[in-house]
Amino acid sequence: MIHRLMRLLRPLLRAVDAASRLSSWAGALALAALVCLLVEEAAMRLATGRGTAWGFDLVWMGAGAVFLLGLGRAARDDRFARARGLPAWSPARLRRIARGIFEVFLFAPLVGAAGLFGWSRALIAFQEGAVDRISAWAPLLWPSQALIAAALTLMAAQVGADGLRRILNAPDAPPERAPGAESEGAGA
Amino acid sequence: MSELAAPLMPLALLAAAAIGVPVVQALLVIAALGAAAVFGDNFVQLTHRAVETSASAYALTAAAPFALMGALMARTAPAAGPVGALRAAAPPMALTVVVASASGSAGVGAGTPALVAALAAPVAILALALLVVARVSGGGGVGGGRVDWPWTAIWGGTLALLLSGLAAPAETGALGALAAVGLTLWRGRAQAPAAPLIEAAQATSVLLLTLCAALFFAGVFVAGGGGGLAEAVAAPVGGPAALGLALAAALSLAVGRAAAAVICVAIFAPLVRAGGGEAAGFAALVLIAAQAGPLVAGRRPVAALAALGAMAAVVAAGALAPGLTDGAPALIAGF
Repeated sequence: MIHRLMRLLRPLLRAVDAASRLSSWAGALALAALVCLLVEEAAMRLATGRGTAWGFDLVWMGAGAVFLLGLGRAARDDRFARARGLPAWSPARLRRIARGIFEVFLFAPLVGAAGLFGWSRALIAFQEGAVDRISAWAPLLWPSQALIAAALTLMAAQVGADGLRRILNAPDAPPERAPGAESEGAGA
Repeated sequence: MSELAAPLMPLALLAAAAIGVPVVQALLVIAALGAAAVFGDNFVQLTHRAVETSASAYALTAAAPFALMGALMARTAPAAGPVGALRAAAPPMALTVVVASASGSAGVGAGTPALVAALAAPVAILALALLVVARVSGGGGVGGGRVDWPWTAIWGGTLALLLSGLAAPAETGALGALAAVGLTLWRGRAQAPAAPLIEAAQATSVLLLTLCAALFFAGVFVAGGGGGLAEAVAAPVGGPAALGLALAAALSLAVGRAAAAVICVAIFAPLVRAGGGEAAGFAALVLIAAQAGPLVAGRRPVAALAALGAMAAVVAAGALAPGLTDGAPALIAGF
């Protein structure tokens, strides 16, 4: 029964993984663009005494894109810090199931609902042609709102998929990093 | 129900941590459920707004370039010797810049004194680590006894530019990242140029989501009456600053340095500020406490005792220093 369910779900779960990988690449490109933008902005300030009209907006959009586009892959790679959890002598299978239940029934629905809400806001902003009134450049609002909605939806899908893999003890469940471990090159 | 929300939130966090759930997931879910109890049934919108605020905060843009610097450094600098000490000091420095930047203590030509105080702690750690490791290692191991001058120059130049106030923290980080890319290419380590970019993008996501979740959690906790609760609990141990620092050291053993620092700064900085302290100085002390925590575990007795002493000094300074901005450099002098 479980094997059949996994076989049915596998293409969907792999599609979610692929979307997260693609999104992570887009985040890396956004980071490269952000660094170039910031250097250009600093150079303009040194040369002319003030930045460009659009630099401020593009910089926060770029940083937001880096933040949001990397979420799915970070969840897949288990990069988020976690506590030591249940004692080491407790069965590994029990630990995986407990975490999977939390992810599938609490975290993924919450983030997915926030993503759906984000899509509705992006749609309204698109229909009304809303612009950022605080900015002198006045960029359209719907692209950044759609990005937030897409990132939340993708993270919900990725966490839900990984939680399901943990519950069903799938062979392609994400690797568990040591609790409290942080990436060497995390930088921050 | 709403008056029960604040006391239940930390207990729920502990319960979630106990089953091995990532801290950021637990913080978001508990904050959303707490928001439902405190504010009504609009917790989905509040969750969305918390993410939207973090995604559009200009003050947080420093995270990404500094993460790229760290990722590139991890590729080209050896893990041992003084270079390794520099590499280990890079993440706390980057985190301090992000926190100081987000707390409004840093900017172009503004708030430099507060930033100096905030950076004094990790810079002092870096200098101390370089000195100690250079003496102890004496040429043994990979990179032992040898100072990596190009990397030292990049970090030194970045910090000097940051403190001069000529460029914003994010711009300074970008210039440092560009220099780091140049050094990586010069050293012939550009076989996989995309890997540090992906790693840095992921690190940025992890840091900013943790910050977003911690701020969301702290906001709901304080709105639900948790501020008074934290002050009441903190009073016997020397005030919110001391409790926050002790908690940072303890939490860093369980959830890692960055997450512990971010959570404690988010929850306790408003309480410290309300008591007349300064957020950037408090953030610097939290970073030292979070660094000292993992030093205690699994070390030789002398090293563990030294780390414990450092932690006690940090906590005492948090309790005693009337203005934490002034307290941070004084504390470092006695470190």
